[in-house]
Amino acid sequence: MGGDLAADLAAGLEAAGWTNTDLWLASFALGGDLSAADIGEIAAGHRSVGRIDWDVLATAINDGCADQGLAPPMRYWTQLPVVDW
Amino acid sequence: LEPEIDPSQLTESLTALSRFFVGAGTLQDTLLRVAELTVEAIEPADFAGLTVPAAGRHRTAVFTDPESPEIDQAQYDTGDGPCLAALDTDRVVVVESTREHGPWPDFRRVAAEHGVLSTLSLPMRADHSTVGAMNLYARRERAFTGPHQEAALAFAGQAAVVLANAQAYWDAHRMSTRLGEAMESRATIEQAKGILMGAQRCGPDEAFELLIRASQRENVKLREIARRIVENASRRPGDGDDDGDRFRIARLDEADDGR
Repeated sequence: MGGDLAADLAAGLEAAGWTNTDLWLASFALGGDLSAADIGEIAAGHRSVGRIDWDVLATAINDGCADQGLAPPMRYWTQLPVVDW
Repeated sequence: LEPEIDPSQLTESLTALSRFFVGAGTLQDTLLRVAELTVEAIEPADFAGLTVPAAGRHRTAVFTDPESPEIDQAQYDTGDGPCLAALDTDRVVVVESTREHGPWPDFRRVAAEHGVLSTLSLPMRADHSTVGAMNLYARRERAFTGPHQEAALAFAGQAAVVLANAQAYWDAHRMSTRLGEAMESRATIEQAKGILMGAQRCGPDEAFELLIRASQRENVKLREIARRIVENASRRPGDGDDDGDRFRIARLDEADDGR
């Protein structure tokens, strides 16, 4: 799966007005296992992320934006572009 | 003759501050009490306000007189003034007469229009960081003498500790509340995943993907989908549309379209 996941996540955090801790709490509420530090590393592009973890983060941000009356900014794993290297 | 500090009043106010329990009221309540005690302790002050940085901006968080935020706005608008200088430089800033020319002419003009003729601004430092600024306003010129400044600085130091404790207390309180809510939501989602795993003969990851797809398809938040699944599964026979509920759970992935 390709695309700039770090940039997508950073943009999602900005859209929601969230810190890494906010996202950690929201992803924990969904059953996610990433720590706030893990999330920071993913957003900085220093750590790769798998399908389930990504979808937990995307759901957390999208639902958080919905709570604020905002459009969902995140794409789910199956919506990400496939990049051939 | 310079007006003297009333040591008993200062001691009384400092004692009241030291006994303050930050969890007894809201953060706003704590800040307001600090401002009130400041006016009681530093006699020449007619009123006081506390400037607190929040989200990269400054605001007068509390005040003992509604004129305080109106005067402070002049410095927030220009981005410069005595209380902002106290915050930035970590030093005591005195405006001896707002009628005289000097730095911050907009602030001086607005203050004088409100009948405030001298001001004293003090940094509030706790644990090596500035948590805010205390601003005292007097309706006479040169109201704040050296002893007043020293007393006010000592008071501001104690007030800063109360403010920092209150902020830490309420930050922890908020986090505790949010964690409780998160654990409750997590439990519901884990239950829903378990129900789906049983119904679909799938693993936890597949169950979570089913929840995501149902959330997208129905444009309903995932935690709400999970809540409905758990609620439906926990119904006793005859409580409702059991066959329909089972059918909906079994077909959660119906819009998968072979992705």
